[in-house]
Amino acid sequence: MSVIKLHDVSKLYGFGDATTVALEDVELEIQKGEFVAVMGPSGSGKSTLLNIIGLLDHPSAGLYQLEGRSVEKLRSNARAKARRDKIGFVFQSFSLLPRLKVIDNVALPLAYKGRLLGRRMKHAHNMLERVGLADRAYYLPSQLSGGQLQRVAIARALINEPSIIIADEPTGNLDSASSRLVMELLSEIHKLGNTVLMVTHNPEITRYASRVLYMYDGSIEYDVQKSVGQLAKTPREPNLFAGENTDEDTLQSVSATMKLSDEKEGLLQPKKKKIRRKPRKKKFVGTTKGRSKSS
Amino acid sequence: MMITDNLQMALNSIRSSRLRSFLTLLGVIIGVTSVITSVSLAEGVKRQISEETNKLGNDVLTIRPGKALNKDQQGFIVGINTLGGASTTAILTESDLKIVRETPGIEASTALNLATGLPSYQDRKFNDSVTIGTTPELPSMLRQEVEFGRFFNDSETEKKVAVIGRNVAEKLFDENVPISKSFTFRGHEFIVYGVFERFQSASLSQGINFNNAIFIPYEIAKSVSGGTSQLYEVLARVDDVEKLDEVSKDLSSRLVEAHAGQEDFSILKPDDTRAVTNNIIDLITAMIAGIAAISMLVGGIGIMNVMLVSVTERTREIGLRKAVGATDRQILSQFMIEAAVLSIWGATIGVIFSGLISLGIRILTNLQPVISWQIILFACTISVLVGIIFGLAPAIKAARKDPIDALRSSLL
Ligand SMILES: Nc1ncnc2c1ncn2[C@@H]1O[C@H](COP(=O)(O)OP(=O)(O)OP(=O)(O)O)[C@@H](O)[C@H]1O
Ligand SMILES: [Mg+2]
Repeated sequence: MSVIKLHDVSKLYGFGDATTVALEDVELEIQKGEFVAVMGPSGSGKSTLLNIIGLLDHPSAGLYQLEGRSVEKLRSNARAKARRDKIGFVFQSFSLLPRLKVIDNVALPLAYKGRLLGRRMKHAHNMLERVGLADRAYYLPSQLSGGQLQRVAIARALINEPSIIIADEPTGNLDSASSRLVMELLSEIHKLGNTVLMVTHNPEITRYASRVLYMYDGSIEYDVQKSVGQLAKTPREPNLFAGENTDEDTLQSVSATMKLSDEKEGLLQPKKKKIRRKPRKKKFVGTTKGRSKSS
Repeated sequence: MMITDNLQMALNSIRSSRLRSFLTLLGVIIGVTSVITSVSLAEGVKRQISEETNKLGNDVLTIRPGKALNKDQQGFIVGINTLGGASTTAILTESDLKIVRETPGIEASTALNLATGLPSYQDRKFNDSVTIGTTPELPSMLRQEVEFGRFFNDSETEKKVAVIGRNVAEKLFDENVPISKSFTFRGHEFIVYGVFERFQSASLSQGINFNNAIFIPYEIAKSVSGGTSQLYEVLARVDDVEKLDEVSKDLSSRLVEAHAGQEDFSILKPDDTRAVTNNIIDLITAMIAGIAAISMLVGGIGIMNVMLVSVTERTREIGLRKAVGATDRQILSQFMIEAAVLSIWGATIGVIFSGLISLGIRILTNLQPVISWQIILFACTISVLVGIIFGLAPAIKAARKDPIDALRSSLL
């Protein structure tokens, strides 16, 4: 049974002329134990996809089954409980509550589950040990480095033994050394049988994944199974996915791609940050805006 | 999520903005302080008065000229003529005293007769003094001890002797025990026989501060002030407290008869004096309580305001909490508890303030406020209710936030 199953999932923002298609008829199935990396230019809908899978956001249309059960009918309360028990989040930054000590941050999902304090602390301490930060348990988040913060966030994501760990650019704000530490950790968790879904802009990082999705303009363009340890190869349009370490690079490569595809459609657009495209399908009328990575 | 976690979080967030919390809480603080202070003051004064009237004895009737109390048909006291006997045309005379003495059930009685004039000692005068002619029964009737010396006895009612209040000793003689000193009153020499123990503060109905009084024998007072026989008041003790009402009614009808059908006098029972003063105190307390209620309202709005700001400021926190599994209800209770803690904190400061204020009152005045645990509990309950009521809207706002919108917020 697949952990996650999306069928024809779409997400639209706004209405009328200002409609943005963030996701368009996405089909996706993720099995238990997969490490899925999601790549794609800024504004291609990666975060939107993760937020919907993580039950933070609602799809505009389509079916979503988490562990074989449809989530449409879940009320806000049940969604919160599903997030608590089945999903672990790691965000790009500010994942922790600044006023809570590291250990309290890690124990937070257990607190919402109603676990007693002693048990919570013990469990959280174990988790911190696993990410190698037991000695920082009683620090405040402001006293940790960016890489350490992300490891704490991973410890928290893991504490309820979720079905899936969702990480939106977990290494986005880190230097390569800290990125490596965080990725090694996620890889280790994956090897223990956990399911991981992660957005990254760094092709190097896809090494750790067992499967890579390339998103473009709200759709999954490529879905590549690969063996862990290898770099993902892009079958076509290499400049779409190469060297997207910085915003500028991303924008350039996006623009380059835009140019390519627009030429195909016989339309030439000037290079600019906001890229207007004609809708590819008649179903949705509107524009798609590129968003900068830092937003 | 446990209550203790929420409490912990609430304390953290209050601590992180101490000054703002304090300013917001001023309303609650003022409300709690004024409620506790006014009620404790009122309780204290009531207690003092009741001690005093108990001292006068629950078996002593006070008869005054004029209608001191306005009662309605049901017998409830609806007003009081505080000006007392002096301003009324109605008078009590010695024949009334005789009627009092002849009324069955009355065991003993004494009359108080005001003599006008100022006493002088060497070159000194005491302008606030009152000279009262009375009988040797007075101390036992008032249940007041003569601290130094003694009261004049039955064989001394024709002598020019005096027993004085504490203030007279201090202000006129400038010493504590001016026994056997003599002073001049209306051209006559009087010898001080005794000094009364300090009387507790005069109650409203009593009118005269006995600490400023010079008591001289009744007949002497009459002769030195030109033979008037108008009485300021008559005190009468009944032999059986159970029959107090009965005796009072009997006495009343006898006096009405003697006054040609006019009820131009008042008979005050010990409870009446208490009731009148208590009525007035309750009125004042109610007024202060009204002010307190308004400041509680202001305090509640302050709490609501600070909680709304806090919810907005912590939008991302709310998003994160929801992302890791907090239900709407859990977020709601977090903010509700925070509002309640905020208001309890205000109440605590208010309790401390009112404690200090009543300490100050005890030191600076002769009033003795009584802070009961009931009033503390009451004030704290009210402020917690205020916190909960005014914290509800912000907490609902927090609980209803959409997780993804909250997470997108740049505020943390
Ligand atoms: N709340 C919103 N309201 C309107 N449009 C939105 C909203 N959130 C996202 N979008 C739009 O949806 C599209 C997809 O956004 P999304 O955040 O999923 O991109 P992304 O692939 O995560 O980009 P990045 O790599 O920059 O994080 C974008 O065009 C964006 O402008
Ligand atoms: Mg994104």
